[in-house]
Amino acid sequence: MDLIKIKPFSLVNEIPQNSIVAFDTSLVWRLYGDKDIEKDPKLKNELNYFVTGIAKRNSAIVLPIKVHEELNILSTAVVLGPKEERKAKLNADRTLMNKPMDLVDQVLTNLSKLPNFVDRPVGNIDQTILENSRRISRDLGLEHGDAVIYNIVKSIPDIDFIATFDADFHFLKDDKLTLYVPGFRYVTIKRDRQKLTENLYLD
Amino acid sequence: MSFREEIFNELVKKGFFNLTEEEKEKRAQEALDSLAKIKSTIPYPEAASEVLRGSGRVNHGFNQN
Repeated sequence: MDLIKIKPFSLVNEIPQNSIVAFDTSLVWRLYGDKDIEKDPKLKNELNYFVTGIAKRNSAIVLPIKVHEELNILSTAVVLGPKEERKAKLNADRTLMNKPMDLVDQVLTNLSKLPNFVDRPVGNIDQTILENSRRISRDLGLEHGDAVIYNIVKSIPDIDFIATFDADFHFLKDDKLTLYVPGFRYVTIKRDRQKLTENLYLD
Repeated sequence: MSFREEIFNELVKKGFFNLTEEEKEKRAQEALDSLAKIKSTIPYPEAASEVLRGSGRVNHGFNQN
């Protein structure tokens, strides 16, 4: 089986009509939380081009249920601060948890304004997903959250693409799914894969 | 009904397929602009790395080589 196919966001026009694209947490974070991306207009434009391009391809955007869960965890961290700090705050006032939950509501409400965004979380986390995720983590060194997202996507054969900001999934062997990543990430993944091929050849 | 049919039925209910291509692009861009506005309200964006790193999403550097 070959390594999972990779495409840069700029090739969003190659998404077939009526496809289904799953976003991972890293990509959603770039849309609503990552202030650094504002300093890089080229990257921001690339991201916007990709997301609007999915709509123009008459394709759907879904979030695996694990991404919904991670959004809650992420929002708690970014609203209440680093771990020790937020624990102290919550011990003093449990109602502070309303603030990150309000942020999640705000994010989901705005994601829902994407005309092709599917509001309900997709997939389930059950024993099979967890067992497969642990196996992939052991075999490939993929961290648990990524492994769960990947296995949820694999459990729904109609999902065609995973869109991510980072390089986590690129060493998976998969003949069906294609990974969409930012252009700079595409370049580094291609280079890493080239090195891997050269090393195999040398071996 | 397949999962794909379920998903696209939801988009039909949402009115997605009644939009022109320009309207789809415009609405998507408006949603992206609304999402981007949230950024200014987040007090501890750096804390995201703690969570994303825990999930395996560790490579944040845009210019990482």
